[in-house]
Amino acid sequence: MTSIGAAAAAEEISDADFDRFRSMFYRKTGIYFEDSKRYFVDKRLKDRMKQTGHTLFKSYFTFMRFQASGDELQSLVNAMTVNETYFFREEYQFETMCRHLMDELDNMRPAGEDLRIWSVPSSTGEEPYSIAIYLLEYWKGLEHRDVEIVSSDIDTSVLEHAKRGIYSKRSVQNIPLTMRQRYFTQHGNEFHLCSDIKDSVTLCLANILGAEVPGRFRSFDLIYCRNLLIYFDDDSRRRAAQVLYDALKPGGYIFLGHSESMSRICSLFKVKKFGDVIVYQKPTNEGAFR
Amino acid sequence: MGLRKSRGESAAQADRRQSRRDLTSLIDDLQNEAADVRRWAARDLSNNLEARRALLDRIDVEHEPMVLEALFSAIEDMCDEEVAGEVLIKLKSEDAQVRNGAIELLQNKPVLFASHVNELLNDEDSDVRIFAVDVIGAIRHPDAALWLHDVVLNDKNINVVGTAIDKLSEIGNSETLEVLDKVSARFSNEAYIQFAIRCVRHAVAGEEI
Repeated sequence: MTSIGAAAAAEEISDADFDRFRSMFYRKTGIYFEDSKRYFVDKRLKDRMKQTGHTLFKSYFTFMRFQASGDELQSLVNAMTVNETYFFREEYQFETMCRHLMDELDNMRPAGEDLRIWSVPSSTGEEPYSIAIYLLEYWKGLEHRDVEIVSSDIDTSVLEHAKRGIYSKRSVQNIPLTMRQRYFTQHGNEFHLCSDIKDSVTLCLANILGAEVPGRFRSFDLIYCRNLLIYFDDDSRRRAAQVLYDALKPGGYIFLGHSESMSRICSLFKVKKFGDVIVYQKPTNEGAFR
Repeated sequence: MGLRKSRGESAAQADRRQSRRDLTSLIDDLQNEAADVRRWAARDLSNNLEARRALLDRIDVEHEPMVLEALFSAIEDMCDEEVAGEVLIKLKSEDAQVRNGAIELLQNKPVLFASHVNELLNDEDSDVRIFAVDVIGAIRHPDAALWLHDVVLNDKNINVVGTAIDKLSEIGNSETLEVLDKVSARFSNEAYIQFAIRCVRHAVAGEEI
């Protein structure tokens, strides 16, 4: 390993280095960088090389690829994925929920039984509250069917933020103005979510890989688990997939982030497409809780 | 009707099981006719050392993909030298999912895999050698490139060598280039091998393909 200190500048990354990195990263994560992303990738690679004291790409690549702990690969994944959350992020999934999935689930379940949705991780609440707003705005089934939304996170600080329900302008900028006025009150640069929406979501502390989760989180009809599995190693990812499978009722659905693929993790789920939107379904004839 | 909070104090639902979850009952459940009963048994036997034998045996006769997934997950965290030895045998299974389960498990156990790598790379079955190369290509082990060098220099089966060359695209190093010269001479009439070598040279040294 060549290591000459964190202050040294990283060398330029050649076309062949980029290809090699891209191929490895795709195999590990399922994320493929087009040539147009070259600047984005190079910049982050060089940042990580600098952080780890490598001036040569080859030495950094070998270090990252064979590090026993896998920590550097994880740091690289974190750097290469945009970890931000805001209301109505990947809105096409909410549209699919309201246009297709909720009606199908409504028809599948007995009258009088609530439909249950689990949003994990909650982060600071933008996702579960987006689900609530979308259902109120676009799903007529709420006239005859109750829906429960449960959202969990491993981080108490983000849960506290979610419970407060106070957001920046950037966080709410994708919400149409009329909806924003309906569900938020503006105080200077802050947007305060109304209590009706906050009260409609159950927020709770949980680690998806924790021993208590398979017993506690069950009988869900729909799960949002976006941009979480990508941060797990292969083993944890497979275990999490089993937990999500157990948490769904037969016929239930799961959304992953746009760069994630359940098919790369396990073969438990059926892949269904609604237009360009991919959703994973637990087979209708399998897996009642025993 | 509308949105409402969970009825319980949290998202938790009472853990009401439909059948007994003691060790003996769960091991019996591994033979149950219903696949979801077998799968739940495997889930609940995860990391139970007393169930290890039963879980390993079930892998050999199980054909339901979802149950196999659960069986491999169940033994993953208690995979020691003894279990690893049994998992290696499953690389010879006729069932592709059993083989894949074994490969994925071994990819996450580099130290255990390393202690068996020579035995696998010398197996008389070329398919087993290819599976071993697949594992080497994915694990984090400092000797991985050395093992592949050994394969490409010595294995007589072109498919095994081709697979190993392909893996070197990712994990090859400066020594690989010298090794590839010798491999090129070994398979001078094989266009596929020559092309694969050019691809590795491009990946490792930036040479034109």
